[in-house]
Amino acid sequence: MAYTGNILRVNLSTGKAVKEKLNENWAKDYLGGKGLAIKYLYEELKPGLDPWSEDNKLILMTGPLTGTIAPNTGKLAVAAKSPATGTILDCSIGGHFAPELKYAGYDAVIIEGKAKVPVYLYLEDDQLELRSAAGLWGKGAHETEHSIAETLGDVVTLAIGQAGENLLPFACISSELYRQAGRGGIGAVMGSKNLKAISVRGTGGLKIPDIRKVSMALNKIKREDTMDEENMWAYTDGTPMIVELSQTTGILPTRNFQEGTFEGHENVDSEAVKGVLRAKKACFACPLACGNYVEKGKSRVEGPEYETLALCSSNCGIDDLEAVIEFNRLCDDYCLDTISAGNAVAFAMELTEKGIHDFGIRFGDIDKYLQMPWLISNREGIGAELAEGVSSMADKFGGKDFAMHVKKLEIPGYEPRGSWSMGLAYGTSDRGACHLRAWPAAVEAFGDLDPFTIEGKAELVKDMQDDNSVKFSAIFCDFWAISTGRMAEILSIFLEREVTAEELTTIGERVYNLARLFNEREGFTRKDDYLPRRIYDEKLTTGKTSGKNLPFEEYEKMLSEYYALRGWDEKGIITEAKKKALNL
Amino acid sequence: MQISLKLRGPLKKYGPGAETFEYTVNANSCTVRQLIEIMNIPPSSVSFVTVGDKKAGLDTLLEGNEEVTVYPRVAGG
Amino acid sequence: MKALFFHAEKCVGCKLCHLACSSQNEQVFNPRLARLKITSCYDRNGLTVEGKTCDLCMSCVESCPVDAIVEKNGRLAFDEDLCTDCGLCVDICPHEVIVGKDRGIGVCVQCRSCVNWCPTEALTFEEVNK
Repeated sequence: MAYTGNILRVNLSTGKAVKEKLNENWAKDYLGGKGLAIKYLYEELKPGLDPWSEDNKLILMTGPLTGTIAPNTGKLAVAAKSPATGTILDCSIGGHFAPELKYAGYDAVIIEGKAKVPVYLYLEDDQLELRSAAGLWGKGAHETEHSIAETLGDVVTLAIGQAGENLLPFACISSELYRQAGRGGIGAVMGSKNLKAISVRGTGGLKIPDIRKVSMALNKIKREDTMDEENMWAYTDGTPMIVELSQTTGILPTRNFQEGTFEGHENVDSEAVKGVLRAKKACFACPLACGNYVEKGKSRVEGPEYETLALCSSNCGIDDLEAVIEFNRLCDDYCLDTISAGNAVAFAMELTEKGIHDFGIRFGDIDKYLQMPWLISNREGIGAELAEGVSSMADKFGGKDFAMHVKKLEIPGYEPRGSWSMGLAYGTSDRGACHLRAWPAAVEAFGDLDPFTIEGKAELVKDMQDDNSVKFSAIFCDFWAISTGRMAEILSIFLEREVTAEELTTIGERVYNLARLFNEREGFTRKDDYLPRRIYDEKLTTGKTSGKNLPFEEYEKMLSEYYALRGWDEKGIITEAKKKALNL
Repeated sequence: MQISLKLRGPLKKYGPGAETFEYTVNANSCTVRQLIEIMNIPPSSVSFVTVGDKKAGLDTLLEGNEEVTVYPRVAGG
Repeated sequence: MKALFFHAEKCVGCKLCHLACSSQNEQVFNPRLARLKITSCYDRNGLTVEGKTCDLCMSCVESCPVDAIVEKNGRLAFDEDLCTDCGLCVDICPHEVIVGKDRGIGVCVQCRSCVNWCPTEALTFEEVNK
């Protein structure tokens, strides 16, 4: 049995919960995870809804394979309408929450309404309790998790910190201290519902026919495919390895994307992180164990991941690993998305250095930098301004051309001027600038394709977006470079029907288009699919990207080509024919 | 000729044990592709090669005394 | 005699061993029914990794009043027909790795599914007196 067939719907306004049947038709068309969560939101959220209102819904969605022994399937999709962007928002979080929810007997939890006072949810199998979070409100996610564990024992918890309580548009959700549903203010949606944490203990199990035979077959797949050389970078190094690749190719965001190389890169690359490594750490059912638990000085964190190193190190001009580890730990505790936080700090640094507005913080200023997570999370001092994100900061103080965001979501760690396909991936991502919808840099800037041409890029980005959409819906971790054929093989076992690679590609395309349709309904069109002017107008001056920009006309052409491939019109609106073809 | 070779991450196993080592090629020059072949590294496992601090292609010519780093494939980000 | 050994410094906390054990021995994916207990979690002191596996100490064999658990050729064997569900073995096991069930119990029978699934060789099967 792949699905439990049950959804738990909790209304925090009334304090009532109901168990309902999973919509099987939707599960067939959207599988689970990202796709199924978006389907529920598309059907249940009123168009134009204020994401801060209590009518916004928070969905925790597992995948059909979650909780089984199929490798790398233990992640959870967390979705809502984004308070940062106004778009659809789905995040992916690892750790051990998703399988625990499945063992409790649910494929998903849908959280509606708003509690009158701060609460946290405690779910154990069929028992749900709304418990007072009075003693936890105002505390970081780390203290919250420790404290709940001391009360409830071996539960798995999703928690928010001060940033979520204070409704920051880039507040995240933490689990097991260092795993995050990071982007688009998903933690602020919890905060807006007065929901401090969700803890679950599931004591049931999942049964399938021929379980021993299936396990043996999956162990072979684990050994020969998941743990193939192609994926083992995750274990030997993890994402910090990308620092070296980005530095060499000139796409490491440096000092608010003013440069693509960082002179201090050797202090914060994979070698440096390995120097302070204490243990490798995995999510549930993952043999790759990308997590690096590190300790340096008084600070410790599971991380820092590449995105944190790029945005909070080079992009802030900070080359001190201990400072970055501490910044990372604080962000995880208060629940700040490190991509957006790093961008906000770097933007304030550039505005200060350019004399546009004096925030009193400059590139490389470690002391002030380390005060930022607290000030931002609590909206104190200059933190009150940074807490709104770079788009709002630019509206108030200027610097719009170098406020690095798309659809108000701050840009991740790959400089588009040295990876033109990443530019298109950011522009057309469903939740604003994101590197997970498609990561074409892998085969372009880091691979054999010419990074400085638009040729073939539209198709590359479209195909990757579709592949990743089905991957995040079936829920396989991004770090297993799994083929759709292999996904189909594994899904066929658990869904007990023939699933084909073609069917999966169509599901991926359907999911991506449904996300687009959600955004279309909210008024998003072509006009919102653009990058900050800096990318088009300013040439980089160092390393492999010296002299490079991404000319506006080239971006326009690439975007039009992409729409045509997608079956969207020139304004980026999905054509009726495409909707029909995808059964939308 | 001698090359200072670094095999990153899971590719380390194709070397003598250490990640970084000096390697002697019995020729006066060779391409990056040939070097990878000599080392018995499956080309499909390689994403990225640098010579010095520059990204190199498979046809980049090596003439000795270079620092060559071979990276595995990476995913996600 | 050979038994399971746990090497904490290699464990990544993926729980694949628990899933391997429960699917092999209980025909279900349920980590709580595994006949070993491996935990890797963050507490106030940092990362704590602990592993409990059957080391053939024979406490259960000695405590069973009806000889439902016996040792045969260096392995434990359980006979459900003899078991009276007294629960003594579950309580007495110093490693807490005997699973109490609605009917009968589950002891480690050295199937080695956990060893076969462990991605980092944190679990090994070795001579007890080594």
